[in-house]
Amino acid sequence: MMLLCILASLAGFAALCLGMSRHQRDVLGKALPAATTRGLKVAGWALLTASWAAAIAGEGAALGSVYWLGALTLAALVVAFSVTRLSR
Amino acid sequence: MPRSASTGAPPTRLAAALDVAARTLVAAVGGYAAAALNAAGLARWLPMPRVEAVMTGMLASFAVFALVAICAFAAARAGRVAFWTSAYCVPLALALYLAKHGGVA
Amino acid sequence: MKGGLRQSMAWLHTWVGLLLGWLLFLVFCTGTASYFQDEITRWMQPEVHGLRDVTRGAEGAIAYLQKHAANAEQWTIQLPGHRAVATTAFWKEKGETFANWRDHEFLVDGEGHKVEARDTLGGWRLYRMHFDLYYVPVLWARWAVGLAAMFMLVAIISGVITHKKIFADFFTLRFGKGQRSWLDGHNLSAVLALPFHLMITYTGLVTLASMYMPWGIAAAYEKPTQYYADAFGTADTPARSGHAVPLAPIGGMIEQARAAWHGADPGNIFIPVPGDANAVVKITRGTDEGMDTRGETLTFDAATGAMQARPPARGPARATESVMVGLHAGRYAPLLLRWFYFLCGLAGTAMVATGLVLWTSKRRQALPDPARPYFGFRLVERLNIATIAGLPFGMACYFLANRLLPTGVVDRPGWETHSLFIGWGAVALVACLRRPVKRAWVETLSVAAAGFFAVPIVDMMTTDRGLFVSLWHGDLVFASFDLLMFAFAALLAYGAWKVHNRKEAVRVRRKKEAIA
Repeated sequence: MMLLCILASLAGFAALCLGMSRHQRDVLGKALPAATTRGLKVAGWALLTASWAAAIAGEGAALGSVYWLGALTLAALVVAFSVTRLSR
Repeated sequence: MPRSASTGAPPTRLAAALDVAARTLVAAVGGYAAAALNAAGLARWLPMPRVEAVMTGMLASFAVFALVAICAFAAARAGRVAFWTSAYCVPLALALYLAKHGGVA
Repeated sequence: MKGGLRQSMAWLHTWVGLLLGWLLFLVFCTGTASYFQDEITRWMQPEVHGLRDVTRGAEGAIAYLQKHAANAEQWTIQLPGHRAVATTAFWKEKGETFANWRDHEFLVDGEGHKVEARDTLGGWRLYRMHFDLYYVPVLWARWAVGLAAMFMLVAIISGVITHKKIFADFFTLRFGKGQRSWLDGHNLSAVLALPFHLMITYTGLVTLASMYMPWGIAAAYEKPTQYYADAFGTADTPARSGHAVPLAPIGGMIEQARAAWHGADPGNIFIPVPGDANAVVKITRGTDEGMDTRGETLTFDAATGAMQARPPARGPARATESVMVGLHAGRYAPLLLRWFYFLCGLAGTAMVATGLVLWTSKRRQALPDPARPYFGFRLVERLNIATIAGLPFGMACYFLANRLLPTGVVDRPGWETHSLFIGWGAVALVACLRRPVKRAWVETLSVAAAGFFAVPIVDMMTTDRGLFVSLWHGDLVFASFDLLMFAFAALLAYGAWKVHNRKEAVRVRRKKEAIA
């Protein structure tokens, strides 16, 4: 369950990141259509919510929430460093 | 520089230093006093077992301290924060003194 | 006037962050290490082998105490938490204070045998340094750390208000752009671990709240001792009756305690007036058994082993406090969560370090004469090097001293700690004397990298539990410790290399400026 939580928060932050025009330019070299951007944002938030649900399902509400915050920090750091690496 | 420096005529160095000193004083002394008195007031008057009331006051105190400290530097004038902090602290201190030593409450 | 508010908050953030920034760096560094306090202790006592067994540890300790300290005033047995192996026990003779506790201290392994391990305080020393510092009276140290924590709280709030593009910059990290990169690094390490930073600062203040904010106690109680008895239970010593009565088996009492706690293990056993008819056994639940770290203390009749009435349950405020302290120390955290804690602690350390460097980086461009900065600038610059490179090197020295100091040295734990400060002081000296500043950075960071690199090597040469042996036996604690040392060495070396290369970049820029 924790693996699922980490993966979901990674995917969530990756989607949110790609939903930002600055990073679209940096990583993809072009701007994505508005509809795709909106879709990425919605998917990102949904995935972050799902990662919380996974953590709570695995570890209970209290411990799961603490896990989730830790996983969010890890995932966001990984995404930020990857974006820097992938930037053209 | 805190805000007063950015308004009106360019302040002298001395005025700016005094302004910072005043704000620091309000943040440190006023902040601690408000936090301490708040903690004491909650400990005394919260309707719960006194050990719980004491703990509640303690837990909340640092937020009060931080609030006053931030306001001391965010406000347009340090004097205003000093006024409101005193307006909160002085009656509370008086009430606590009377409660403890004057036999009231 | 939105700009005005932001401006004043930026000013506040800058100065509140700088003033005690170096102390905060120490608090973050040692605090982050303390998440692996037990693992560090195990690494620093390579003589302790085997697995943890609470009951056998307690039985072994009591057997030894009965033999060697039958007439002592008190016995204390600290049982190993889930990540530790050794039981630590000590006794107090009549008239002694707790300052003497290390005079009668011994270790018992998971099989109940007393072990002769090298004399060390292990991870506990780093944990205490996190709020007690060293070489200064403990009370002063705690006030200083509390003040730093309050500064930190104000810095976090003002920082959030200042940071204009908190969401737009969420994933932004631009390398090789001088001040901009430091700002990105500072924002990233602060924002991405913001829940942790807020939690750790506030709960840190809460851990010592009754010292920092005792006014509620004074308002509601006649004597502070009554409050402490209400809040945390008493440690009253029963009067001696003079009749000797043997102690009932401790294993039975531990079983009763476990049953009362739904399987949670005890963490501490305290026996005042042992061997007397009036003796009691106080068993406290382990601090790592739940997020609420302040476990219940059960009292047993020492003679019969019967459990006395349980204390009443805690009210919500005390339960909240117990959880806050638990969240801060993270003792409950299982392995994965512990690594999350460690990662967030590192982010906090990086936040303080990048903030300190940012102060100089921001002002360097505005210097009237870059070759001759004013005194305050030079002071900050040198203190930054002395602290950011010096303290890690000191910690490497602490680990090295553990392996290299002969076992017979008087006050060995003291000398391990002195080694930390000697190493730190040496780097600080280099940091202050070496010119130019870039060279000081490169040299101190390289020395720190070399220090960490040496730790696993020296471990391999001086013990039979080197990296390869640990990997072969699947000893994850020792292997992870050694690998982490290599990782820190690599990180610091990377830093040194980066600074070394940047030197040329600046020179190129100067040339360009000269041409323009």
